Amino acid sequence: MTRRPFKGAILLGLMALLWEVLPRTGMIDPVLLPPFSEVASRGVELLGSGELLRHIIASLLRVLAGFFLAAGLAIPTGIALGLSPPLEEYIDPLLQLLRPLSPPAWIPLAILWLGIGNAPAVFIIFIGTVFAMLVGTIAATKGIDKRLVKAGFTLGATWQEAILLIVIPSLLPEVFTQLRVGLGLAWMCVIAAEMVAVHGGLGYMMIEARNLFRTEDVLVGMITVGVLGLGLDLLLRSLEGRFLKWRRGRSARELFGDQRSP
Amino acid sequence: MSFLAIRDLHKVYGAGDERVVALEGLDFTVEEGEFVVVLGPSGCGKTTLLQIVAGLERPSRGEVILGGQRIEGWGRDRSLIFQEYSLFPWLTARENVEFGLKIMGCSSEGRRRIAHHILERMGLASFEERYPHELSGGMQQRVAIARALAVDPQVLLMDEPFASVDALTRSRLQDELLRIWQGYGKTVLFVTHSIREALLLADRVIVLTPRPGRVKAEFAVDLPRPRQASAVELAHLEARIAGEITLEPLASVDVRADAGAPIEPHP
Repeated sequence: MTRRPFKGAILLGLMALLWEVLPRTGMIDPVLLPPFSEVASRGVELLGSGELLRHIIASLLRVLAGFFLAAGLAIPTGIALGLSPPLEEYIDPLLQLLRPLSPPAWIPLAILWLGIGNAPAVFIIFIGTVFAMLVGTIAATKGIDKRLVKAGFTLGATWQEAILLIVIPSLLPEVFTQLRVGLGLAWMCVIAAEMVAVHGGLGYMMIEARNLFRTEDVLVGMITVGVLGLGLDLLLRSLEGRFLKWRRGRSARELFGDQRSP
Repeated sequence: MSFLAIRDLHKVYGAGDERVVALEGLDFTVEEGEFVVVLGPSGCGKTTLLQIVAGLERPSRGEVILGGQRIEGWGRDRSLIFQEYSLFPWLTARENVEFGLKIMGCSSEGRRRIAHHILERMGLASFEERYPHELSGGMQQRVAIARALAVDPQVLLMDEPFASVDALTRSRLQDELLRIWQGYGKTVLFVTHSIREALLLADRVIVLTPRPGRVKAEFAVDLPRPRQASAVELAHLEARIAGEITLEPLASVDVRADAGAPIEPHP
């Protein structure tokens, strides 16, 4: 376990070094790419002034609002649709049409309908994540092992009990996957939304910095977005590990000689 | 009156060109406490029969009567054991066994006691807290049997439960099933394509025709248990049943499903 972060650090360190050396030696214009150390110290400065934290919180709150709304709708609806083929046949064409629309494609409409502020941003996150999670959940529900449900029936389960005690638990791993996909998408959407629809948040911070030609601030914003996206995913993964104890040791990686514990 | 009666059972899937007749006028009875094995080639509708008796599928015609009552839908009085992978993977062996009891509203203490008792009888006491993927195929099937027994069904329905374990494990599981059956006195309706397995287990063997399934012949197996696969009488019966099945022009039955050597007529 201890060797893994170390391995990852090698490449990261190398990149930071290049990032430092190339602008310093003039091989890249430092105005376009300020050296790493300058970006880092600017990051510390922004963090110290509380400005960065303010933007982070604004973005996070929007992501969580949009994501929870979307997940709250998509997961139960997806399970219901997956269990009811007739209903799904009505809705599937609509979903297939709406799903490929990229979230930024909704930005003009969101601003027209909801103006500027949190509402359009949350709307874009919602709309940008809900279809992916819905389609994923439907597919997962359709793929559920029917034997398990039948086994439950012959042990005396009613329909409601079968859904509650068999369908949902057996879907949990897939639901977590959908949540991770959704949260990742939400984090991408919020940056796009904040660049046009809101005054505040990391996306806004970056677009403002660009307008003022503060390349360091743009880069600080980018690093922050990356780190927070990773953090959110790790958070969900640790929740997943806690909820899905029974899956430990079932990873296909084991087959390929991966010696780390999953 | 018989305990379990299968009456004029028909099952048709699809329509038009895709119409498949799985069962056509299936008729037989099972007495209380009896171990009946339904034997037939793949695709003869054996599984369909069990699904209908379990109430998971509706017959196109005919009916199933259990204890004088016509069967409508599923219920815990008829527990079905599948060929494989039917344990809930997110529950431990003990929790799997407790599943039906939990639904019945049994207290957690009562559940634990019953589950422990049954698992102990199945020789699984030390594996109670294991998850299904940590158990071998044979152990998983024992847990599945324990889970079915826990709800105290009137009939145990078994759909080729030992078809996907290795030969050694299979013969152990067969012995164990007989012990359990004798201990609990359950009525068992067991489906297989192996003549040998049918003869080792059954009070009575019901041979089905290939699709559409109908009763082709019935054999009472009046031999004391435990039976030896090498016993002369068993070999005779095996040859007779094999003959019965191969008379069928389209028979695709695996006559030597798990016999190591061809059946040799005894002197």
